[in-house]
Amino acid sequence: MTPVARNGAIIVALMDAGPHDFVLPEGAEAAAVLGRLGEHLRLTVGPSSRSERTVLDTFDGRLRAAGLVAELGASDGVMTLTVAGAEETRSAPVERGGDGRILAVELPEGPLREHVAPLLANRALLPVARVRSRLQPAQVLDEEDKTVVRLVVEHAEVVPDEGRPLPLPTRLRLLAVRGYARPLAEVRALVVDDLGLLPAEEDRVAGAVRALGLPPGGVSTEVDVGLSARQPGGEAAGLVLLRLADIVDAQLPGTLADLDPEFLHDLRVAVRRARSVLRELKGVLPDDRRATWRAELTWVQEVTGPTRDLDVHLEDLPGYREWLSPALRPDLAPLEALLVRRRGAALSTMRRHLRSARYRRFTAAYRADLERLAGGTLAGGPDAGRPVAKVAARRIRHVYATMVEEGSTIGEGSPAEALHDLRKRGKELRYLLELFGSLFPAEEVKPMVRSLKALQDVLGRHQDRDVQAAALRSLAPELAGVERGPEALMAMGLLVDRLEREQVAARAEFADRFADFADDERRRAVGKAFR
Amino acid sequence: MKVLATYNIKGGVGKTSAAVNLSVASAAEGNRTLLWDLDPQGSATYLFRVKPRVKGGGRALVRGQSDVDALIKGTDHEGLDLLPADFSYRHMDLALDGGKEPARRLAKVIGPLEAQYDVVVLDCPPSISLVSENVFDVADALLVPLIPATLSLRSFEQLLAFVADHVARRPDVVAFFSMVDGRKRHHREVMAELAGRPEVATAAIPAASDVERMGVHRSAVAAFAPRSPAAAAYAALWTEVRDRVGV
Repeated sequence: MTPVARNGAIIVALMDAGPHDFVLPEGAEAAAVLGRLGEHLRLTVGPSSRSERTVLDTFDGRLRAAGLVAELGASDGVMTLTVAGAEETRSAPVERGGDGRILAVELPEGPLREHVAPLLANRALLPVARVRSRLQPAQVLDEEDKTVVRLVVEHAEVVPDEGRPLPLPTRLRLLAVRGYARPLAEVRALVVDDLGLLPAEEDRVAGAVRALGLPPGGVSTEVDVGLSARQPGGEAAGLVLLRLADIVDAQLPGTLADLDPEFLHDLRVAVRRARSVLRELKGVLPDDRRATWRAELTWVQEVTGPTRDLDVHLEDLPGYREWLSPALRPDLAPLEALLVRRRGAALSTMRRHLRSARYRRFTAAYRADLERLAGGTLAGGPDAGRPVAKVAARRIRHVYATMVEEGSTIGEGSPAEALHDLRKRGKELRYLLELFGSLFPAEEVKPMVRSLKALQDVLGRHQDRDVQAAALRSLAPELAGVERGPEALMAMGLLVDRLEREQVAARAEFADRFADFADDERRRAVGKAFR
Repeated sequence: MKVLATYNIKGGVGKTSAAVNLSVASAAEGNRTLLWDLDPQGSATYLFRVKPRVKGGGRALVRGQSDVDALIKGTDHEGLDLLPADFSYRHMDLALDGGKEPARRLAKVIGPLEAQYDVVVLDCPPSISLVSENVFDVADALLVPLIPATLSLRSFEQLLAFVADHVARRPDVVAFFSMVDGRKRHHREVMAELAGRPEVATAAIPAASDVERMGVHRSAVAAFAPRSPAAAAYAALWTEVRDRVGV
């Protein structure tokens, strides 16, 4: 239906603003609809065809967010990935991996990869829905028998992994031919006024995904539980923690299957945020259970740490290669091999833990407790009954004040640890603002978030460089005896040098950023906004 | 983006047939292709069933006053668009002459289309003029249909000399035998004489009734007679041109 190019881009005729997809009433057949249209238009009907396509997107719906739809289907016997946007459709032949995922690096070079790779970054394209269609094309002709509008009637069904196919509403699609806008508008008017068809509310892919009970935009990691300022702190904390637990559960299968590194990353962020709530809002939480929850979430953080660290090291490698002159780049190969080996081992260990009875028992009990806490049937701590806005405000003021106090003592001679500690506090503050900021006026929260972000950015760079240099140093002994190990070590030496310089540079920026974060005006604003 | 121009100062030698059939072959392979019918007779436009009309006429178009995107029409072939002919193109020389850089105006119209098309084919009018100077300036290759007869050779040599003298930008010249009648000894002799010259393509287009009947079917040969010798000849010619020019 959509032309498939030899690894090229094809411009679909620029569509106008009107609707192009219409839903046919249930039971309507292509022949009948086209017959009705044929009474008013010169119409030829093309041969019908069948197609089977799999809709793909990242777990978090990055392509859809960019206005694109990706489908995999056989075209002339070749598996082809087609990515369609509002104006352009691009396609490329692909080999599909056993688990159905496609990574950007696996796409052939060409316009499709160029367009899609920056959007995907390190996330995998995963199958979302399988759609089977019967397509009945037709062409509207002018008095010269030229095709001026293309039509397709699509009978489609979505095929779930298990169970019977689910029929989708039959659609009539209008496809423009470039330079023939008026005939398109005329056909549309006919479809609306004469056939009385209603425009489809969403595109056919979204419709298919929704029919499976999945969100078309992918799975989000937003925590927006709709808190209100006066809500009891215990219940509010319960709702937030429950949502964070949902996020962890959603990311778990992708993490265990190792589909892409972001599943584990998002899982850990959710755990980190939950631990932050447990720490900062401890007054609203039941003390004994809180201790258990803290211990178990800390355990989850610990068992997932090594794999994540290695993911980060592996993601740093391309950047490291760029720092070295081209002649030295291949020297990092033993380092990469070492990291890959270690990651394989870390992954196995992590999987064992996340599939263990301990994990299952904890998550079940934790969820049960949180539901009761959110529902008000589990007694919280002494502050549980206080309005969440008050509890959160007090905490935000406190963490901010601590940061101001600690940051003010940091001078040129202070150890790097002092900045790392300040960064940790900054993370707490950030999570508090992210999770509870909606309870306060946006015009007060936004500037604070911005200033905090600027400060965290510098602290982050400072700490990351420190951690990266330390990591490279720690890996060095293992490379000493390996083939071409000495060359790798020499290249790593250059990397460590640069990392240390960047750490120093970040440190130099600290004073200004902190001054902005901690100045009198801001102190007053924080005192005023968070009450 | 590669720009190809079917060109010959003589009329009736198969320029339009070649432009139409080669651009259809190009699009069928997946190249985004645009055919610009520069001939005021509008034969290519007629074959694609498009009205030979360009809003604002040729003058506004080559003076950069038209919205070119709005003038382009999709043909019935996926991936192939047409910038139609207009009867006002008969005054194109005058229109080109009025402004700055008169020999570069077509390049200025086509240049902005680079992001949209992989191949542009120009179907040129039979003349030697400011229009043809513009074509020499913008084309990567001239595709020159030659009827294999002595007088055609003469004008071909004149063309090669003219192109060599056109200092600013020299397009590649790809000549191909057109309207070949294998029964005529003269045709065979001329083809033998030129065989092996680097500017001359191996593929040759036969004087086939299928080609003549394009005007009746209003369609490319590949569409109504896909298994004919003429269709095969154009396919082979496209492959040669494509590989030579580097599409």
